[in-house]
Amino acid sequence: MIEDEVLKWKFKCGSRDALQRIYEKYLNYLLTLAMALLNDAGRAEDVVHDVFVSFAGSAKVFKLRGSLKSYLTTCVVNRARDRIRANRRDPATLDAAEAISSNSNGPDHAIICSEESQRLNRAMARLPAEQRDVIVLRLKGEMKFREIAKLYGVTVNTIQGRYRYGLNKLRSVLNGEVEK
Amino acid sequence: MKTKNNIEETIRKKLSFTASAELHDRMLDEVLDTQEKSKKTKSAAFTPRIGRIIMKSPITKLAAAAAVIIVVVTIGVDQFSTNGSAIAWGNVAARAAKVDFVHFYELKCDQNGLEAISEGWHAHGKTMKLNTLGSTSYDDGQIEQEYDRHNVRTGKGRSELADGRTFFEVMSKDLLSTDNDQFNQQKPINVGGDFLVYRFEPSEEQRDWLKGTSVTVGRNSLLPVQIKTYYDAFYGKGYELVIFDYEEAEKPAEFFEPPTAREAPHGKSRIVLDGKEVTMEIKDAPGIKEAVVRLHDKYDGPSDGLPGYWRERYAAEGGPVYKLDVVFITKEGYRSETNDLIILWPNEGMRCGVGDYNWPDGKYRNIVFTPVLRPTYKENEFTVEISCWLRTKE
Repeated sequence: MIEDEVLKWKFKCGSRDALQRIYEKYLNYLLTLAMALLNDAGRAEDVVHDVFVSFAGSAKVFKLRGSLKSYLTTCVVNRARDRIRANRRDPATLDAAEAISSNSNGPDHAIICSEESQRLNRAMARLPAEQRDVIVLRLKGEMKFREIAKLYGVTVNTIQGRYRYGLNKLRSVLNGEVEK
Repeated sequence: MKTKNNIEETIRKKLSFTASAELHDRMLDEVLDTQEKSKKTKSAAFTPRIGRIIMKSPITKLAAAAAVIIVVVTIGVDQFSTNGSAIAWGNVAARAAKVDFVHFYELKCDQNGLEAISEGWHAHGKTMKLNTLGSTSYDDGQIEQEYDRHNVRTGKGRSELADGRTFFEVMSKDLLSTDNDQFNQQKPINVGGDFLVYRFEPSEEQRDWLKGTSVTVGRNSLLPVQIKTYYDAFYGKGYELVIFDYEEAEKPAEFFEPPTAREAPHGKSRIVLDGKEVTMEIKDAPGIKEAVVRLHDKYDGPSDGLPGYWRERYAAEGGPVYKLDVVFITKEGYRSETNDLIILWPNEGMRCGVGDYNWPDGKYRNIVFTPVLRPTYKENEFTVEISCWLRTKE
């Protein structure tokens, strides 16, 4: 309800309530983004944790003109990419079903999701990483193709192609699941 | 799931993960704890040790080299010498602390090119900024206030200057501080005929978005000419630039006083403190037809009785405050849905927003609005004024 501009301003002035409000507002969104990019509950939690802790300590020097949501999104994307690079493996090669279910069933687990989300994330995990990233950033991050292209250092046409191919593959994966 | 659009909509709406209560609370404790700790420490930004770590990366080396080249081209210095390279940063900070009046511009440069953000003036502890989108901010050294383009106050908070920091300390993120022992002995990385260029690297905590800061200083005056902050944020790589101008004549004292006059709101109506709906016509706000306002409650109890967001300000300023909600009706006849009650102080605007994709046709609409509640001679009757703007992605 309250615009992020006010939250940013109050946060910069050191408001604890503003930070808590930002946290409440974006925690699940960022977790969803990190889960979709990393497909690993533990690493997703670490990434979101690191982003918020870094953000919380930056109030004195925080000077953001643009959207708070986009800023936090980019932080998560950058850290997720760092994790993937550091681990030298493609998260999509993990067994998606195991990765999610081992962290999401039961009250003791940190990240909770519906069966529908699990099914979608399983299907997303079968896409090539470059296609999955674009779909996630476009649909969950609400980023423009131009912004995604800039982030990955490729042309807008390339990003649009990845998006289109990714959706086609996702459709066939989901339809295949239904047929089974 | 047969069409592309269905898949897109399904991912948008159904792909969702939620933090457990345990994770939520544990992470929140750490986040708030980090904020508290950061308040107690003088900015530890631009740690040289971290800078050296960063400089081990070949990519960062390349970026830093490119950044230096950009600075050189920008200021037009083509002959560097070693003379003057002994001027330590502390001399610049000491000189900046004595400046009484300065005119400045804030600009941003990213893949869309150079964009002006604001023009500002600072004199004798007071600052006035005129933003390119029409809003203004006034900082008297104790309180900072923001006004929208209709001169309705939309924000109020403690000034960054209130704890004794100087204007240049704030503008430079504490780099231009005479207390900054960490950097006071630092020497310029480039020395030209007219300018000195100092470069500072970000701390580890800032690396998510900040890539470094260059400060260009007049060689004879030792006054900062520009501060250039390189970032790598959501809008891609770019920089923010603050240019300082010492030539303009000093503004009179009244120039730094907040506005009192304001333009007419888009909607206005009498309202009673009874929770009943009042419908007002909205004029001259494209896409919006009407607003329905309900004034629910008056509150002047302890601050704990208010939602967290409002508590801090209420504790500082006191009440009474009033709780209301607003529903907008678009030209298509769609009604917005508000989730929270708005807390208003009499005669003060509060910038709010509703919309997103939550409309029957699924299209994006965001309504930004500022309600103001003005008391009348009757205790429980008010005039409610609303200024509003509808934004779409089309």
